Amino acid sequence: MMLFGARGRYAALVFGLSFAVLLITQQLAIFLGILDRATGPLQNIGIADLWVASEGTRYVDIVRGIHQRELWRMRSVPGVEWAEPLIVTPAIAELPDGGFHEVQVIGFDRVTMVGRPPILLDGRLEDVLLPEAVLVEATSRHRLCNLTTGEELRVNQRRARVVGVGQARTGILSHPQLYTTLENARRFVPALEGRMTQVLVGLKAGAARHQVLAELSAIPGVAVFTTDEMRWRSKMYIVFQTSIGLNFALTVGLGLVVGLIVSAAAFNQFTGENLPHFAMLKAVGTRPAVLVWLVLVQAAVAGLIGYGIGIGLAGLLAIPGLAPDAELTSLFPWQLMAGGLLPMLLCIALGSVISIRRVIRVDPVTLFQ
Amino acid sequence: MSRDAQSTTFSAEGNCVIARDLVKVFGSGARSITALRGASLTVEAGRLVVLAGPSGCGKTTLLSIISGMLRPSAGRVSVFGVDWWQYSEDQRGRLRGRLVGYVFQRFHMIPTLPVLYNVAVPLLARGIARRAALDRAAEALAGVGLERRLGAMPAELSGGMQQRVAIARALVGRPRLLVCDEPTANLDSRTGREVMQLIHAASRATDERGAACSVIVVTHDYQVMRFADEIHEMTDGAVLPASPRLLERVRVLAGIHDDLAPPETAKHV
Repeated sequence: MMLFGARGRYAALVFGLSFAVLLITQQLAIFLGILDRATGPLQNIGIADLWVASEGTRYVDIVRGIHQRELWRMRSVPGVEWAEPLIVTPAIAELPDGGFHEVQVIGFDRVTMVGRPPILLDGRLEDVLLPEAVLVEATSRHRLCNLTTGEELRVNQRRARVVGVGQARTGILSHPQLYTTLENARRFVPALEGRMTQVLVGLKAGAARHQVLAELSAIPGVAVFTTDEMRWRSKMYIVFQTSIGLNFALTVGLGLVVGLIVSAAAFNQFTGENLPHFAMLKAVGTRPAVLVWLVLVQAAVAGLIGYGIGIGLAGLLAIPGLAPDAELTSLFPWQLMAGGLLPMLLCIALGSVISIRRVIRVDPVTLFQ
Repeated sequence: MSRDAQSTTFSAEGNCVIARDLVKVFGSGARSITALRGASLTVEAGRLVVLAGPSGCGKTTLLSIISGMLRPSAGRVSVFGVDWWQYSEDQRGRLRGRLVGYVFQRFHMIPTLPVLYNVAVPLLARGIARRAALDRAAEALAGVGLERRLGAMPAELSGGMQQRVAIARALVGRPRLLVCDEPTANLDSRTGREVMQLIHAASRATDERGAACSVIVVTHDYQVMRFADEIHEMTDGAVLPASPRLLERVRVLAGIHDDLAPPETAKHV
């Protein structure tokens, strides 16, 4: 009640804690969104049990070619139900307005179509089998002059025709995606002739996953991952091999430091101002445990209000980023909401420790002045 | 008025406070300061004792030691037979809360609590139920004439009213010893006199068991000394009987010729 009475100081404390929680959780929501988007291509192809890529692959979208002949070796491994090649490769798209943009060309098998966009919004899927045909991905289409079915563009200086619009999750770089057949993809990127960048593998029912994985891994020059392993590897690549992880860590750390400083300063000031009152409470027989409890209750209430405001604002700011076509992606799982309590508790704990030390040490004899 | 406090034996019988040969040294080495040099004092139950003396003579140090807030470097002190330093800090705090009431020069109100709650604080600290504590606090405030200001905030009250609230807070726990440190120093003479009347009344009141409340007042205000049953003078860390010169000055400055009895008695708290 002592701190509650000092409304200005209380508001400053709550504001500081809210800001810290907002900064930390909002930045983490964006970071989680980026990590989620980093595994977008994996989410588009949910049916693969195993992913085969070239040895040394660390990120789902950064791959190099595997020779076509390895595909037959993979298909001959016991326990493999199917193995379908996939090409994921960057290219330059020249647009009808004279501009150009980097795109991601995704080539899939013309028979099984494993790797096609999960949703087709416009056009017919079979039209993609035509020479020069591409499906343009809807959410990033605005970067390609909003190309519609029937329009033409050039990919790596070769003519391409839009035969439909699909919807899929884009990768971390948000490059527009052009879906086409393996043959068309190789025509756009001749360096991949006779090669593919990944092979998607489905297992027979009852096949021992680890055994198949081990046999596929024995093929020279390839690495085999389960979807979860590939997802984790891709996330770790973003966290540790790019500056994204460090940047977000610094921002989150900054939020924590702000919270700690504001909380510690506010509590310290509050304690200093109320020290004679704590001394008086001690003089009249209040047990130190009760004084500690008083400080903790006030700290906890301030912390919970700050947390509520901070997490609420962070949630509001995250809403636009939840849309699949959002430029600034974000993810706000309940674990993040719960985790937001930790920095708040840390701020409050530090502030309380300082206060509690002073309150416990205050000598009621100071009242006799 | 007793003039021979130093001859009492170290027994709690009939005495509220017995302090013997108290020495208090602050610091150590060349920079140490000796605040008390063998100070002894006995306060009989139900008496109002004034400790007078110039600043720095050790009055407040002696009061702090008697209150169990400061440990003497040497010597012994007993308050109703309790030797504070045989107990842990926690136990000492609880004993203090039960036995001693405090009135400070600065009122030390909690500014964000209404006066009713300020007065109830010692009871709440003792674990008394909120309703009962507030009822007793209201009674205590009525006893100091503030029954209409229960909901007022301390800042809304004058200095005199705040000191009356502080007296109510000190007495609400029905202490057996009331310790007052310069209770009128921040008040004008008329308000100071009213406050002293309340303190004097407290020393004359008895609880339901017939036990009286003893009062020790540290002051250098001659008007306060008029209310004393005993006056002791402190000089250079030692307690001495009040000198004839001091008593004469009290008589002259307070406008009293024959005795030190208070001019009137306030209603009992």
